[in-house]
Amino acid sequence: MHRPNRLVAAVVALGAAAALSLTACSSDDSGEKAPASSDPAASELLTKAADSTEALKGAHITVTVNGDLPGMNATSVVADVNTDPVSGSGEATLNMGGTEAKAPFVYLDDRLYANVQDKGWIDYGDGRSIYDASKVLDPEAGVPAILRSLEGAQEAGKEDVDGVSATKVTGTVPASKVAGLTGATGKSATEATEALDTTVWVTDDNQVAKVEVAPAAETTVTVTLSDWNKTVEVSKPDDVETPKATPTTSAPADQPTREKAPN
Amino acid sequence: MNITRRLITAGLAAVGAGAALTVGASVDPAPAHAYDYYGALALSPSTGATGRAWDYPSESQAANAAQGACGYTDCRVVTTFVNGCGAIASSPSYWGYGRAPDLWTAQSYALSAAGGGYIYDWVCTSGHS
Repeated sequence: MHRPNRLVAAVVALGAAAALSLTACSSDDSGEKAPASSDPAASELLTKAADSTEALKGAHITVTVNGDLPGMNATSVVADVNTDPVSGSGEATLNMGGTEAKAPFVYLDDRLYANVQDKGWIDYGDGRSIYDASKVLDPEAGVPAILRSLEGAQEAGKEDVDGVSATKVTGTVPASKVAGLTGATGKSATEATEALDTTVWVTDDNQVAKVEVAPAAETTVTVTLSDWNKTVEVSKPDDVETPKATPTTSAPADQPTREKAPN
Repeated sequence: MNITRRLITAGLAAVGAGAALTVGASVDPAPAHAYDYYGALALSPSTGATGRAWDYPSESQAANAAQGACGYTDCRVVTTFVNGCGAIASSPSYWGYGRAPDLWTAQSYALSAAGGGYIYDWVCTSGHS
Protein backbone atom coordinates (compact mmCIF):
# COMPACT_ATOMS: atom_id res chain seq x y z
CA MET A 1 0.00 0.00 0.00
CA HIS A 2 1.11 3.47 -0.73
CA ARG A 3 2.43 5.50 2.15
CA PRO A 4 -0.52 7.95 2.21
CA ASN A 5 -2.94 5.11 2.41
CA ARG A 6 -0.92 3.65 5.19
CA LEU A 7 -1.23 6.89 7.12
CA VAL A 8 -4.96 7.02 6.84
CA ALA A 9 -5.21 3.39 7.70
CA ALA A 10 -3.06 3.86 10.70
CA VAL A 11 -5.23 6.62 12.05
CA VAL A 12 -8.34 4.59 11.54
CA ALA A 13 -6.80 1.58 13.10
CA LEU A 14 -5.70 3.56 16.10
CA GLY A 15 -9.16 4.78 16.77
CA ALA A 16 -10.68 1.40 16.33
CA ALA A 17 -8.19 -0.26 18.53
CA ALA A 18 -8.61 2.25 21.27
CA ALA A 19 -12.35 1.90 21.20
CA LEU A 20 -12.28 -1.83 21.49
CA SER A 21 -9.91 -1.81 24.38
CA LEU A 22 -12.11 0.44 26.41
CA THR A 23 -14.88 -2.05 26.83
CA ALA A 24 -13.99 -5.42 25.51
CA CYS A 25 -12.35 -7.28 28.33
CA SER A 26 -13.77 -10.03 30.45
CA SER A 27 -12.23 -12.37 32.97
CA ASP A 28 -11.49 -16.02 32.34
CA ASP A 29 -11.17 -18.75 34.93
CA SER A 30 -7.59 -17.76 35.70
CA GLY A 31 -8.68 -14.29 36.56
CA GLU A 32 -6.79 -12.80 33.66
CA LYS A 33 -8.49 -10.47 31.28
CA ALA A 34 -9.52 -12.06 28.02
CA PRO A 35 -10.96 -10.17 25.08
CA ALA A 36 -14.73 -10.30 24.95
CA SER A 37 -16.24 -11.49 21.71
CA SER A 38 -16.94 -8.81 19.15
CA ASP A 39 -20.40 -7.80 18.10
CA PRO A 40 -20.76 -8.84 14.43
CA ALA A 41 -22.25 -5.52 13.42
CA ALA A 42 -19.41 -3.64 15.08
CA SER A 43 -16.80 -5.86 13.45
CA GLU A 44 -18.37 -5.36 10.04
CA LEU A 45 -18.41 -1.61 10.56
CA LEU A 46 -14.74 -1.62 11.52
CA THR A 47 -13.83 -3.64 8.46
CA LYS A 48 -15.67 -1.22 6.21
CA ALA A 49 -14.01 1.71 7.94
CA ALA A 50 -10.58 0.15 7.58
CA ASP A 51 -11.21 -0.47 3.90
CA SER A 52 -12.36 3.13 3.46
CA THR A 53 -9.32 4.48 5.25
CA GLU A 54 -6.91 2.40 3.20
CA ALA A 55 -8.56 3.74 0.05
CA LEU A 56 -8.27 7.40 1.02
CA LYS A 57 -6.34 9.67 -1.31
CA GLY A 58 -5.79 12.14 1.49
CA ALA A 59 -7.26 13.64 4.63
CA HIS A 60 -6.90 16.29 7.29
CA ILE A 61 -5.57 14.71 10.44
CA THR A 62 -5.03 15.79 14.01
CA VAL A 63 -3.19 13.92 16.73
CA THR A 64 -3.50 14.98 20.35
CA VAL A 65 -1.74 13.50 23.35
CA ASN A 66 -3.25 13.99 26.77
CA GLY A 67 -0.83 12.90 29.48
CA ASP A 68 2.77 11.72 29.31
CA LEU A 69 3.88 9.61 26.38
CA PRO A 70 7.68 9.23 26.41
CA GLY A 71 7.89 7.89 22.89
CA MET A 72 6.54 11.10 21.43
CA ASN A 73 8.18 14.50 21.43
CA ALA A 74 4.99 15.90 19.92
CA THR A 75 1.99 16.68 22.08
CA SER A 76 -0.20 17.57 19.13
CA VAL A 77 -0.08 17.45 15.35
CA VAL A 78 -2.27 19.07 12.72
CA ALA A 79 -1.64 18.10 9.11
CA ASP A 80 -3.00 17.49 5.64
CA VAL A 81 -1.71 14.25 4.18
CA ASN A 82 -1.78 12.59 0.78
CA THR A 83 -1.46 8.88 0.25
CA ASP A 84 -0.31 8.42 -3.33
CA PRO A 85 2.47 9.15 -3.03
CA VAL A 86 2.65 9.72 0.69
CA SER A 87 3.25 13.35 1.47
CA GLY A 88 1.88 16.04 3.70
CA SER A 89 2.40 19.24 5.58
CA GLY A 90 1.36 20.59 8.93
CA GLU A 91 2.55 21.67 12.33
CA ALA A 92 3.59 19.75 15.40
CA THR A 93 3.61 21.09 18.92
CA LEU A 94 6.64 19.65 20.70
CA ASN A 95 7.40 19.15 24.34
CA MET A 96 10.80 20.83 24.49
CA GLY A 97 12.24 20.43 27.92
CA GLY A 98 8.95 21.11 29.63
CA THR A 99 7.87 23.94 27.36
CA GLU A 100 5.93 23.81 24.13
CA ALA A 101 7.51 24.66 20.80
CA LYS A 102 5.97 24.87 17.37
CA ALA A 103 7.46 22.89 14.52
CA PRO A 104 5.97 23.37 11.04
CA PHE A 105 6.82 20.34 8.93
CA VAL A 106 6.71 18.97 5.41
CA TYR A 107 6.73 15.27 4.57
CA LEU A 108 7.84 14.43 1.07
CA ASP A 109 9.75 11.59 -0.63
CA ASP A 110 10.09 9.65 2.64
CA ARG A 111 11.70 12.61 4.41
CA LEU A 112 10.31 14.91 7.05
CA TYR A 113 11.61 18.48 7.16
CA ALA A 114 10.80 20.58 10.20
CA ASN A 115 11.54 24.07 11.42
CA VAL A 116 11.66 23.73 15.20
CA GLN A 117 11.22 27.03 17.03
CA ASP A 118 11.76 28.89 13.78
CA LYS A 119 15.49 28.22 13.93
CA GLY A 120 15.71 26.71 10.48
CA TRP A 121 14.52 23.76 8.41
CA ILE A 122 16.33 20.49 9.06
CA ASP A 123 15.96 17.02 7.56
CA TYR A 124 14.55 14.68 10.23
CA GLY A 125 14.63 11.51 8.18
CA ASP A 126 11.51 9.46 8.75
CA GLY A 127 10.32 12.12 11.17
CA ARG A 128 10.17 9.93 14.26
CA SER A 129 11.57 12.65 16.52
CA ILE A 130 8.97 15.18 15.36
CA TYR A 131 6.03 13.01 14.32
CA ASP A 132 5.93 10.44 11.56
CA ALA A 133 2.71 11.62 9.99
CA SER A 134 3.12 9.07 7.23
CA LYS A 135 2.15 6.34 9.68
CA VAL A 136 -1.34 7.63 10.42
CA LEU A 137 -2.94 6.26 7.28
CA ASP A 138 -0.53 3.37 6.88
CA PRO A 139 -2.47 0.11 6.51
CA GLU A 140 0.06 -1.83 8.55
CA ALA A 141 1.12 0.71 11.14
CA GLY A 142 -1.67 3.23 11.38
CA VAL A 143 -5.38 3.57 11.80
CA PRO A 144 -6.37 0.67 9.49
CA ALA A 145 -4.18 -1.71 11.46
CA ILE A 146 -5.78 -0.60 14.67
CA LEU A 147 -9.27 -1.09 13.28
CA ARG A 148 -8.49 -4.55 11.98
CA SER A 149 -6.91 -5.68 15.24
CA LEU A 150 -9.68 -4.40 17.52
CA GLU A 151 -10.96 -7.14 19.79
CA GLY A 152 -14.22 -7.24 21.66
CA ALA A 153 -15.76 -4.63 19.39
CA GLN A 154 -19.05 -3.30 20.67
CA GLU A 155 -21.18 -0.49 19.33
CA ALA A 156 -21.78 2.17 21.94
CA GLY A 157 -24.30 4.49 20.36
CA LYS A 158 -23.96 7.43 18.02
CA GLU A 159 -22.23 10.76 18.60
CA ASP A 160 -21.40 13.83 16.58
CA VAL A 161 -17.70 14.28 15.82
CA ASP A 162 -17.04 17.81 14.63
CA GLY A 163 -20.63 17.98 13.44
CA VAL A 164 -20.59 14.64 11.67
CA SER A 165 -22.79 11.80 12.89
CA ALA A 166 -20.71 8.75 13.81
CA THR A 167 -21.15 5.34 15.37
CA LYS A 168 -19.02 4.79 18.44
CA VAL A 169 -17.26 1.43 18.74
CA THR A 170 -15.26 0.34 21.76
CA GLY A 171 -12.80 -2.47 22.32
CA THR A 172 -9.13 -3.24 22.87
CA VAL A 173 -6.06 -3.33 20.65
CA PRO A 174 -2.66 -4.96 21.22
CA ALA A 175 -0.20 -2.27 22.28
CA SER A 176 2.17 -3.11 19.43
CA LYS A 177 -0.48 -1.99 16.95
CA VAL A 178 -0.39 1.50 18.41
CA ALA A 179 3.38 2.00 18.19
CA GLY A 180 3.13 3.42 14.70
CA LEU A 181 0.93 6.23 15.90
CA THR A 182 2.85 6.98 19.06
CA GLY A 183 6.26 6.83 17.42
CA ALA A 184 7.66 4.45 20.02
CA THR A 185 10.47 2.29 18.64
CA GLY A 186 11.68 0.51 21.78
CA LYS A 187 11.10 -3.21 22.20
CA SER A 188 8.61 -2.66 25.02
CA ALA A 189 6.39 -0.74 22.61
CA THR A 190 6.82 -2.58 19.34
CA GLU A 191 6.47 -6.05 20.80
CA ALA A 192 3.95 -5.32 23.55
CA THR A 193 0.81 -7.43 23.62
CA GLU A 194 -1.02 -5.59 26.40
CA ALA A 195 -4.61 -4.80 25.47
CA LEU A 196 -5.18 -1.06 25.23
CA ASP A 197 -8.59 0.49 25.60
CA THR A 198 -9.61 1.92 22.24
CA THR A 199 -12.62 3.78 20.91
CA VAL A 200 -13.41 4.47 17.28
CA TRP A 201 -16.00 6.73 15.74
CA VAL A 202 -17.13 5.78 12.22
CA THR A 203 -19.29 8.06 10.10
CA ASP A 204 -22.42 6.97 8.28
CA ASP A 205 -20.22 6.86 5.14
CA ASN A 206 -17.91 4.36 6.82
CA GLN A 207 -15.12 6.89 7.23
CA VAL A 208 -13.16 7.05 10.45
CA ALA A 209 -13.79 10.35 12.21
CA LYS A 210 -11.88 9.73 15.40
CA VAL A 211 -9.78 7.14 17.18
CA GLU A 212 -8.85 7.30 20.83
CA VAL A 213 -6.33 4.96 22.42
CA ALA A 214 -5.07 4.77 25.98
CA PRO A 215 -1.42 3.64 25.64
CA ALA A 216 -0.60 4.36 29.26
CA ALA A 217 -2.29 5.07 32.54
CA GLU A 218 -4.00 8.45 32.45
CA THR A 219 -2.72 9.00 28.91
CA THR A 220 -4.72 9.06 25.71
CA VAL A 221 -3.81 9.58 22.09
CA THR A 222 -6.62 10.92 19.96
CA VAL A 223 -6.52 10.96 16.18
CA THR A 224 -9.16 12.68 14.10
CA LEU A 225 -9.75 12.48 10.37
CA SER A 226 -11.74 14.89 8.25
CA ASP A 227 -11.76 16.21 4.71
CA TRP A 228 -11.65 12.60 3.57
CA ASN A 229 -10.03 12.22 0.15
CA LYS A 230 -8.89 15.83 0.08
CA THR A 231 -5.40 16.17 -1.37
CA VAL A 232 -2.95 19.02 -1.00
CA GLU A 233 0.07 20.35 -2.86
CA VAL A 234 3.30 19.65 -0.99
CA SER A 235 6.74 21.02 -1.81
CA LYS A 236 10.11 20.76 -0.11
CA PRO A 237 11.16 23.87 1.83
CA ASP A 238 13.66 25.95 -0.14
CA ASP A 239 16.04 26.56 2.73
CA VAL A 240 16.74 23.19 4.35
CA GLU A 241 19.98 23.43 6.35
CA THR A 242 22.57 20.95 7.54
CA PRO A 243 24.22 22.79 10.43
CA LYS A 244 27.61 21.31 11.29
CA ALA A 245 29.04 23.26 14.18
CA THR A 246 31.92 21.44 15.85
CA PRO A 247 31.95 20.97 19.63
CA THR A 248 34.68 22.83 21.50
CA THR A 249 35.12 20.14 24.14
CA SER A 250 35.92 16.48 23.75
CA ALA A 251 33.35 13.80 24.38
CA PRO A 252 33.98 11.23 27.12
CA ALA A 253 36.12 8.30 26.04
CA ASP A 254 33.20 5.93 26.43
CA GLN A 255 30.98 8.06 24.22
CA PRO A 256 32.49 8.51 20.78
CA THR A 257 30.86 11.20 18.68
CA ARG A 258 30.55 8.95 15.66
CA GLU A 259 30.40 5.28 14.77
CA LYS A 260 30.55 3.55 11.46
CA ALA A 261 27.08 2.83 10.17
CA PRO A 262 26.40 -0.63 8.76
CA ASN A 263 26.19 -0.76 5.01
CA MET B 1 7.75 20.78 36.73
CA ASN B 2 8.83 19.56 40.16
CA ILE B 3 11.34 16.81 40.66
CA THR B 4 8.77 14.17 41.50
CA ARG B 5 6.91 14.93 38.32
CA ARG B 6 10.10 14.85 36.31
CA LEU B 7 11.13 11.56 37.79
CA ILE B 8 7.82 10.02 36.93
CA THR B 9 8.02 11.40 33.43
CA ALA B 10 11.51 10.12 32.99
CA GLY B 11 10.50 6.73 34.23
CA LEU B 12 7.64 6.63 31.80
CA ALA B 13 9.90 7.58 29.00
CA ALA B 14 12.34 4.91 29.86
CA VAL B 15 10.23 1.85 30.16
CA GLY B 16 6.74 2.59 29.03
CA ALA B 17 3.73 3.80 30.87
CA GLY B 18 3.09 1.11 33.39
CA ALA B 19 6.66 0.25 34.12
CA ALA B 20 7.61 3.88 34.02
CA LEU B 21 5.46 4.73 36.94
CA THR B 22 7.10 1.98 38.90
CA VAL B 23 10.56 3.19 38.03
CA GLY B 24 9.71 6.77 38.85
CA ALA B 25 8.30 5.77 42.18
CA SER B 26 11.38 3.77 43.08
CA VAL B 27 13.85 6.59 42.50
CA ASP B 28 14.65 8.73 45.49
CA PRO B 29 14.00 12.42 44.87
CA ALA B 30 17.10 14.49 44.20
CA PRO B 31 18.40 16.58 47.10
CA ALA B 32 16.87 20.04 47.34
CA HIS B 33 20.14 21.67 46.31
CA ALA B 34 20.51 19.61 43.15
CA TYR B 35 19.13 21.15 40.00
CA ASP B 36 21.05 19.13 37.46
CA TYR B 37 18.83 17.08 35.21
CA TYR B 38 20.37 14.30 33.20
CA GLY B 39 19.27 12.83 29.92
CA ALA B 40 20.43 10.05 27.63
CA LEU B 41 19.79 8.51 24.24
CA ALA B 42 20.24 4.82 23.47
CA LEU B 43 20.39 3.27 20.01
CA SER B 44 19.99 -0.23 18.62
CA PRO B 45 21.96 -0.18 15.35
CA SER B 46 20.44 -3.45 14.16
CA THR B 47 16.79 -2.43 14.59
CA GLY B 48 17.01 1.34 14.50
CA ALA B 49 15.14 1.53 17.79
CA THR B 50 15.99 4.33 20.18
CA GLY B 51 15.39 4.97 23.85
CA ARG B 52 15.08 8.40 25.41
CA ALA B 53 15.40 9.48 29.00
CA TRP B 54 15.34 12.93 30.47
CA ASP B 55 15.16 14.73 33.80
CA TYR B 56 16.85 12.04 35.86
CA PRO B 57 18.87 13.02 38.92
CA SER B 58 22.01 11.20 37.78
CA GLU B 59 23.77 10.23 34.59
CA SER B 60 23.68 6.54 35.44
CA GLN B 61 19.95 6.60 36.04
CA ALA B 62 19.32 8.40 32.77
CA ALA B 63 21.55 5.94 30.93
CA ASN B 64 19.80 2.95 32.47
CA ALA B 65 16.40 4.42 31.62
CA ALA B 66 17.34 5.06 28.00
CA GLN B 67 18.80 1.59 27.69
CA GLY B 68 15.63 0.10 29.11
CA ALA B 69 13.38 2.12 26.83
CA CYS B 70 15.35 0.92 23.81
CA GLY B 71 15.07 -2.66 24.97
CA TYR B 72 16.94 -4.65 22.33
CA THR B 73 20.06 -6.69 23.06
CA ASP B 74 22.32 -4.43 21.01
CA CYS B 75 20.96 -1.19 22.48
CA ARG B 76 23.67 1.00 23.91
CA VAL B 77 23.76 4.48 25.32
CA VAL B 78 25.32 6.75 22.70
CA THR B 79 25.14 10.09 24.46
CA THR B 80 24.39 11.46 27.88
CA PHE B 81 23.99 15.09 28.82
CA VAL B 82 23.12 17.32 31.74
CA ASN B 83 20.85 20.36 31.56
CA GLY B 84 20.64 20.31 27.78
CA CYS B 85 19.82 18.26 24.73
CA GLY B 86 21.20 15.22 22.97
CA ALA B 87 20.86 14.28 19.32
CA ILE B 88 21.59 11.37 17.01
CA ALA B 89 22.31 12.00 13.32
CA SER B 90 22.44 9.42 10.57
CA SER B 91 24.39 9.54 7.33
CA PRO B 92 25.20 6.78 4.85
CA SER B 93 28.55 6.26 6.54
CA TYR B 94 28.15 7.18 10.20
CA TRP B 95 25.95 7.55 13.20
CA GLY B 96 26.79 10.93 14.78
CA TYR B 97 26.09 12.00 18.34
CA GLY B 98 25.87 15.47 19.82
CA ARG B 99 25.02 17.12 23.11
CA ALA B 100 24.75 20.79 23.97
CA PRO B 101 22.76 23.22 26.12
CA ASP B 102 20.25 23.70 23.27
CA LEU B 103 18.73 21.48 20.59
CA TRP B 104 19.99 23.35 17.54
CA THR B 105 23.59 23.10 18.71
CA ALA B 106 23.24 19.45 19.74
CA GLN B 107 21.83 18.69 16.30
CA SER B 108 24.66 20.60 14.65
CA TYR B 109 27.27 18.62 16.57
CA ALA B 110 25.56 15.33 15.68
CA LEU B 111 25.36 16.20 11.99
CA SER B 112 28.97 17.32 12.02
CA ALA B 113 30.05 14.03 13.58
CA ALA B 114 28.04 12.04 11.05
CA GLY B 115 29.43 14.04 8.17
CA GLY B 116 25.98 15.28 7.18
CA GLY B 117 22.80 13.30 6.78
CA TYR B 118 19.72 13.89 8.90
CA ILE B 119 18.61 14.06 12.51
CA TYR B 120 17.47 10.64 13.65
CA ASP B 121 16.33 11.38 17.20
CA TRP B 122 16.75 13.89 20.02
CA VAL B 123 15.58 14.75 23.50
CA CYS B 124 16.03 17.66 25.92
CA THR B 125 15.87 18.01 29.69
CA SER B 126 13.48 20.46 31.28
CA GLY B 127 14.29 24.09 30.70
CA HIS B 128 16.35 23.46 27.57
CA SER B 129 15.24 23.58 23.96
